[in-house]
Amino acid sequence: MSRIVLLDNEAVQVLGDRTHRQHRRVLDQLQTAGIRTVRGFPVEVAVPTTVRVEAGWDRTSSAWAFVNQLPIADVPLGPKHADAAAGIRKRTGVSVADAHLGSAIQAAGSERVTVITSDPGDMRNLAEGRRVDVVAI
Amino acid sequence: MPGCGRRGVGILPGVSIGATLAAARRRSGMTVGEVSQHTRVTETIIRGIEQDDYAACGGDFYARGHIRAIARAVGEDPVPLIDEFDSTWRSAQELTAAEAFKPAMPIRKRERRRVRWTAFLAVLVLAVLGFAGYKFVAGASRTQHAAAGSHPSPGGPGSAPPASAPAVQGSSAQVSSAPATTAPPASASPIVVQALAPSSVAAFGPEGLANGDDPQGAALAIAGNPARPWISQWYATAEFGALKTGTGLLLDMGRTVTVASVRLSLVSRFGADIDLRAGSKPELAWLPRVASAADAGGTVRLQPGTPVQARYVLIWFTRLPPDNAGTYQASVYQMTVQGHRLPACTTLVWYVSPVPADYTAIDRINELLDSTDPETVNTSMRIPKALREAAALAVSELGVAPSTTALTASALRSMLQGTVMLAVLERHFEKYPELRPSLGDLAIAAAEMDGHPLAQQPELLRRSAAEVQRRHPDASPDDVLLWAEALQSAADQLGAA
Repeated sequence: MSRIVLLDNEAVQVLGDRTHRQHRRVLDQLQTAGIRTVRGFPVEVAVPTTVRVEAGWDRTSSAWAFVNQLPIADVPLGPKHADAAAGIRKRTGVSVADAHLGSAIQAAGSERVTVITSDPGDMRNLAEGRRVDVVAI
Repeated sequence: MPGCGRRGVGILPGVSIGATLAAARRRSGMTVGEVSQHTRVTETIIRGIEQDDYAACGGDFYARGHIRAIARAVGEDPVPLIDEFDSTWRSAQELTAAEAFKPAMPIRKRERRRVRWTAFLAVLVLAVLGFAGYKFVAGASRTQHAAAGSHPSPGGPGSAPPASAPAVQGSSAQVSSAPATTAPPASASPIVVQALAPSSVAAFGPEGLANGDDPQGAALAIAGNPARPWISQWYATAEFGALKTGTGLLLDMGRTVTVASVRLSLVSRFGADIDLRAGSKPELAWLPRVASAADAGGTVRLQPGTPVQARYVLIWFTRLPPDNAGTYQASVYQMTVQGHRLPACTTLVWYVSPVPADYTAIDRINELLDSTDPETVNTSMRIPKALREAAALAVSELGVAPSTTALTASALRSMLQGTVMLAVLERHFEKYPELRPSLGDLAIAAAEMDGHPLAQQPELLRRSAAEVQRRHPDASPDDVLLWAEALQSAADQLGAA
């Protein structure tokens, strides 16, 4: 069974800052994802686009050169995600980025979901009953 | 089967596709066998195509690929031939490449990484197959050399290691040349080669670490002081007075590395026969010879024909140089291993690709993976028939993908993304070594990713990682998880009892 690893705002910022004390932990997750993928157990790493906006991650900026080279997919805020995120935001009062993250968690289908986040409690609320594995940083 | 047994309509009046290709082949002076060798299309298929019989091709998709390959090999423009084939031969039932490569459902959650099965796929397929082919050929080459066994192993009958054929270099006179092995392809060349510091050095004898010469002085062999080298025992003859088969120094690199070459500094100016042996265990039988030098002295460079992956590197003297006292002994004051470190804790399988010297390849792969170019291309990728049937069943019965082509492409894409991830991280770790994870770190990360209860027991995972790695230096994080789970289970059962 495949897995998707989602990054929240803090995880993206930690990834872009090699001096951050949690940088290694996020790298460990990515390394594990890479190893599993090439061994035939695909793990996709993804980030909602609104999380990218909040974190200031510009894929065209040289300031993000290292992160830009990592195969991290965007989860765009298309119509379906926008509808789902609007509902989550209304119910929980979270930020747009977190609501988008919640919609990505809920849209994962049969995939297993891991979220790398600085706020594990929030993520479980956003999942709204869907199983989600949380890596707290 | 589409195209089976049908015979020709001419590409021009009176000239068929097959006749065009046959005429071009004759003009180029090639035999059918040579074309086959060049294109990897079997002679039977080539002969069939030259007679406009496509029955053996396995379908129109493959037939087009064969026509294209043959045309290029014989210097003919394939485009009009393919056009002709499509207009006269193509089965209405067969998918076009565009249809075949088109995902049946939108690729989820992608904008930047939207999949369009375009021209990049063929390039990437060829690149991956080429790389896999190289690894296969290199492996086969090593196996063949091992089977040949032309060089007697100094370890005696019990040690017949799978030595890869060495290429030998040295700065001294009379450095012999050993049988050449398959040279690494251009794609393997941009390895970041650097001096690798060993974890330890030890004297080594025919029975291993137990009977090396001057074990207390082994560290002098990497100290770099010519006035104070490691010196073996002295012997009455260059052949160790018939007392032993050799003597040497074992470098433990700490974990598996890729060894490109080893530079030795000897006090003697000539007379030493030296083997470079490398492997995964500190036992002579597990350390195959990968390079050698004869009558060497001074500075000697031992270079395997292709870089080898090994944790242990053995400098093995099979003939001693003379000393000033009329006896024979070896003296070494510096040893430098050149190579590169592999990603930590990953198995030694083909995906451990060399890190490019720059980011060009990674950038290009990312660019291609991001491409929205709708252009498609046929490929002549061949896969085992059984695998193709398994994939067809998985598609038709299990619905794992909209088509076998989509399944293949999806697997290829996934593999490429994983490989790029590891390559980018490896580059990061080479730049910032303090960030490189241990196997224990990765096992903890794997447990956290899965929400596994063992994530709450990092010490157990680290201990398990150490135990697993001692037995299997190339274990994966998931191997450690299994090991730890087994330990935990055993402990639970003992506790219950």
